[in-house]
Amino acid sequence: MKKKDKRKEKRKVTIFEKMKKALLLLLIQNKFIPGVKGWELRKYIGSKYPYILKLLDKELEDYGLKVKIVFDESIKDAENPTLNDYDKAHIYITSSSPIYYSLKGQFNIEELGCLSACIIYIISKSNNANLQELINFLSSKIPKIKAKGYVEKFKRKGYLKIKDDIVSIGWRTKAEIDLDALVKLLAIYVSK
Amino acid sequence: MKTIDEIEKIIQVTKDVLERKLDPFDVDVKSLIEKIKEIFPKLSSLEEYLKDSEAIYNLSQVIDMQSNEIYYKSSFLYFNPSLLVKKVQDLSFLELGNILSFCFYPILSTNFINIQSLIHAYEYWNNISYKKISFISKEYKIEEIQLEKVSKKIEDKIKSLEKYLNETSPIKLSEFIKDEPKNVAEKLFLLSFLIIQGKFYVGLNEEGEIIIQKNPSEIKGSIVFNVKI
Repeated sequence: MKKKDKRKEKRKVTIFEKMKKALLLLLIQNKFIPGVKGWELRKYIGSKYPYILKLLDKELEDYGLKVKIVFDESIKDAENPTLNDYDKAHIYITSSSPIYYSLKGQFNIEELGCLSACIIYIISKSNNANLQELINFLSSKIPKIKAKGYVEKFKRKGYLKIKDDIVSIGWRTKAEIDLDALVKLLAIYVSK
Repeated sequence: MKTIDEIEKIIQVTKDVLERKLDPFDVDVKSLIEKIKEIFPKLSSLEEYLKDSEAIYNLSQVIDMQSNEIYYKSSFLYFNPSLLVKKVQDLSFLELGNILSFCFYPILSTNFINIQSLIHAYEYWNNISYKKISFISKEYKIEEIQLEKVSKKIEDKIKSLEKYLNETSPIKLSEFIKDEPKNVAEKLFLLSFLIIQGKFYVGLNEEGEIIIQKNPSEIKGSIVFNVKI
């Protein structure tokens, strides 16, 4: 084998090892929030981790999975993120298509509908809704106690963020829900 | 009306907007600024000047909220957010749930135990040493604790702790127990009474830190603390 080929082979092996490491870091939950921050990946697999993530994303495509990068809200140019933006971003592995048939374990259909109503209401208030108003909004459909319980559950799971009675969208909503698609689907939906 | 009352009225309106009790566009910012301009020459004391600057600061926040809202609404192009809310009200939860399930991409994650963490846990378990906490045997009688009826002295201590927590809550547990080790155990012991009475609740915040908060939650559970004495 030529020296050049040998070097190429060695590089391939190194990249593959890094991809394996990145996959494990992304899959194994640390503390309470799954996934990792960009700077954590940089620490373990080096500063070229965005490239490794791209390769991993392609590899996961065959299994119906994808690498989801949620950038910080302070990002200046979302289309051309810098390494600093990647460092601040949170990276997860999600399914590449919606899996509605397995949702029963986590939420029942009423909870799912309630979550959908919460998200739309918060979006309509430009991501800053009053907690009491949100509960009043939900209690037009379900009892107030139930609405409070659901909001508490969504907060606990990371779908909503509540600070000083102001409700905003939580980290899990940003990672798991395609908000643009939700708004579009709702806009075009015609009730039977 | 006194000048300070007028300024306070403006502050209250702006606060309502910032706390999302009022729509930012319900406030006529221009007229309020004109009013402040009229009031300004009449101000005399430092307190009035401070209130005046607070009102101007709050108004600037309201303008910021208005601009954010316009930007946000325009980013939705044809979809008027208030129309979406109206639609949500008209649809059933079944329909809403079905719509959401088509935009739902769940995260994959797993938990595991490795050899390193098992070794750590083993070392920790072997090194645990409990000491008798002196204050319990001296001041607190077990019968009293079991009956949840405590003496006047302890009741006073509970009340003073309640007062302290009323002022500071929600407070992180790590901040609450920043004290002498002996006091930590006593503080936690007294806190347990307030939790039993339903006055405070100990839970986890979004970052996974233990917090003590005032509002009771519907979640029932307990947390075990390990205090080094």
